[in-house]
Amino acid sequence: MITLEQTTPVAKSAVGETPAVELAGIGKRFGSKVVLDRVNLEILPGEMLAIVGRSGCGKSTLLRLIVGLESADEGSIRLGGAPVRGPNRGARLMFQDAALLPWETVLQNVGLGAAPTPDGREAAGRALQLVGLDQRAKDWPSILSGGQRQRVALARALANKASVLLLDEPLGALDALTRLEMQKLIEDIWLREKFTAILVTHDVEEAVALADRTLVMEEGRIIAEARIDLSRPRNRSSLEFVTLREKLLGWVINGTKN
Amino acid sequence: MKQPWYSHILPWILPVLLLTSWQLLSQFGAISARVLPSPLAVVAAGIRLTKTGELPLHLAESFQRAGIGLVIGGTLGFLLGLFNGLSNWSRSLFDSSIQMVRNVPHLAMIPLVILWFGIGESAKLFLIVTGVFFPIYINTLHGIRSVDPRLIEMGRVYGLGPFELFHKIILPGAMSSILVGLRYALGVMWLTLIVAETIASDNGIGFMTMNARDFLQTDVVLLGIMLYALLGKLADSLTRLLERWLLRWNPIYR
Repeated sequence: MITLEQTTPVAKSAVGETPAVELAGIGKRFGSKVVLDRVNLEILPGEMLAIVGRSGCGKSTLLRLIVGLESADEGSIRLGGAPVRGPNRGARLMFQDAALLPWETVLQNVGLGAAPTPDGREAAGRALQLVGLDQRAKDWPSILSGGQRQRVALARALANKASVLLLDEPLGALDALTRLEMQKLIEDIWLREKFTAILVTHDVEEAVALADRTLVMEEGRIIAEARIDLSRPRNRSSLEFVTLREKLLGWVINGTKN
Repeated sequence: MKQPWYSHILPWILPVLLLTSWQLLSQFGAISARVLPSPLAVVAAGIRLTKTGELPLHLAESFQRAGIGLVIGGTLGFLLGLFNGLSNWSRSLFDSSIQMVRNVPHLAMIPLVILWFGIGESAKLFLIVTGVFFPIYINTLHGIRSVDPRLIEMGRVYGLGPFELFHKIILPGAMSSILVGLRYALGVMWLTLIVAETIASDNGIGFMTMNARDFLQTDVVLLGIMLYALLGKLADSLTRLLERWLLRWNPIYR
């Protein structure tokens, strides 16, 4: 595995800090196809990690394992030190299609992520404010645009203080302009709320723009890792940004062999 | 979207035209009153029978019969549809048998039903129950099976328990299909009621019309037929209202 450090390695925050997410020797097969091949991964609290790779490289499966929708054939997963067994409230997954309930209002949908208590309802209202859709609280999802629906889904994922937010190509279905807006929104909220996040994407530029660290996956293995220490908000036309993007893109397309 | 002013009148043009020409043809003797009494004569028969108390009595009997049958058959169909939709085990056990029985027209069971229950109230109820059971069963099952699996997955990620999953995702997701089943069941319900009440009965609208036939009261026979049309339309409108309310989140129903 190639590790790319642009600057001197950041002193990994205090030795002994419990990782927010910890994967040890994770293996997963569907029939005879190996989807994940003994993956090891540690994510520190508050870190934004991006995983890029071609479709079918196992990156989405990794998220489904962390959130407990599927179970690993081998290895162990820990969230904040506690082992994952089945769906749990420790991690939140945001899907590529917003997966909003069409029969509930925007606010009710966000409330799904919070506890059904007065406190929970307040948290839902705040989360909706965070994504700038508090004016649409009583609307049905069917009248929202694609970008607005994804913002509601984001608010739902944020409504409950989950330790880890998993984003499974959340912006894949949006048009280019809306996608840029959403990337900025996610970055702003992340900078303010400082949650741990894993962003799975096929868009290398998105990974370089948002993540502290980016992994490249191929055929169920992590083949490369790059730390991204550019200052935020990132200048997408700076030399460092472009170099990094091209390097990662090369790895995604050709692998790390040559 | 604003509808043009005539959209409310349009559906009524044909019925009104038909009734007027019928009335005129009867009035000027083109149609014999023995064959087809005029619409006004039918209305008069309705008023006459209401005054004697006959019509309200028969109506109440028919309503009660239809209602009880619908509640029993509908509940059974809904529950079985629910179980078979939610549990693979239950579906493998019951579904193919139910599909087999479904292909027997329930009215074909009349001779057997009379042998089993005689010609009393239970025979009629049995027919209505079997009639409404299948459409509600099939559509409930279909509705539950076709709920978007991604929504269920989302619910699991957000920590919903089995009960919450059911009442927040599965039931609302299946509702439009269940209501289609209900509308269809209501149609079958009236049909079965008519047939059941015509065969053997001493009350209800079906009996009223059959009885009137014996006395050559064509106006009362027509009144009975009109009542069925009206009741059918009424039941359909009520379910449409129910749809508009339960499915108000869906742009198709707004």
